[in-house]
Amino acid sequence: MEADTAQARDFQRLFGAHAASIARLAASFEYDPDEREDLVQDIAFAVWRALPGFRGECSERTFLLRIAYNRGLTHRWRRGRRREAPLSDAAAVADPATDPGALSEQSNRYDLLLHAVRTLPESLRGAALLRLEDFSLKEIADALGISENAATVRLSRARALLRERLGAWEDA
Amino acid sequence: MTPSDEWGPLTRDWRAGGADATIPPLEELRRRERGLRSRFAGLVVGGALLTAGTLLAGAQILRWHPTLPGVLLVLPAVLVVIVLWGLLLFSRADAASAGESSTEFIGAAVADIRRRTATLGILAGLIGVQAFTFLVWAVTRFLERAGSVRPGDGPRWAVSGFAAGLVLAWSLLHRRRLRRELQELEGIHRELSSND
Repeated sequence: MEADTAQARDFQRLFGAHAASIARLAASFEYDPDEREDLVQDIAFAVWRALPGFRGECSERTFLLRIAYNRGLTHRWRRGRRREAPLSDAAAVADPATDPGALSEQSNRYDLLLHAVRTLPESLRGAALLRLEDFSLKEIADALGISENAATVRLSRARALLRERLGAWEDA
Repeated sequence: MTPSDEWGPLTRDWRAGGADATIPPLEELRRRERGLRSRFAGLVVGGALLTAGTLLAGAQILRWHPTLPGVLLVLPAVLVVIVLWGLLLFSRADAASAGESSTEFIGAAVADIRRRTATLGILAGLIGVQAFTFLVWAVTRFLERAGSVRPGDGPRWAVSGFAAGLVLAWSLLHRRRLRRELQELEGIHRELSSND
């Protein structure tokens, strides 16, 4: 019972401290607001279950966002398997590639960036997301289970793609 | 400009956006956990029944047909059961995982396997090997009776078929992964070349 209380306390503290990061990460994986909320709940459940096994070998933030990222990948995989119709909230997040005017009116730089991150290939998105959350190179490598060199290459490619997309949309 | 500087403005824009995620009620999390435990217990009981059934059926087949083809019929079924148990236990590690070292490594590996839908591939591969072996064995038996193959060569051909089937299934399962890794390496090579 005491362990359960400690788990509840740790969970609320950890999740509460990084709620914004989790929301941004979920938004980068899911356009649909309802599905996004489901993803957040899945992340919360995964964190809840993993928390008793946390041994402090990495920072709490790395631990949390790594779980969130893995859940995001699983969510996307499941969504792909269900072969659902694309994006039910297309109106909420217009595609700047086809309608640059709509986005410039409705969006700030975060929205542009979010859309650009969503268009990144899967292999680059993880590194970019964690870098945008201000992770160091070592933390990114640890979180993704890759070498620092590989993380550098991925970040470099992700940065180039983001620059290209953001530049095109801002010019439009 | 250092890599850190390059990301600086983007990081600021990114972290300035988005609303906080809603923290779910703890009771909801506990309820989901109880549901997951019940489901896992059900899977373990179902798995135990499947295992017992497979072993009994395998023993019976070997009693009726104590030959190499009989063994080859039973072996893949036992392998399928072992693979299913492995996936069941690893899926638990995966669900309970995910922030750190070894557990996370296994969890991530299993999640990766799942993402590549190799679970069905492995099962299909084992069943394919089984079917391939019996095809080889049946053809050999036919040729034995027709006098084209020496009597008694059937089991040897069946073993060769089993080995060939395993190699074939393994190659097919890994073909896509190897191709993707090759493309990734080519991408990194291009990136490094352009940086030079």
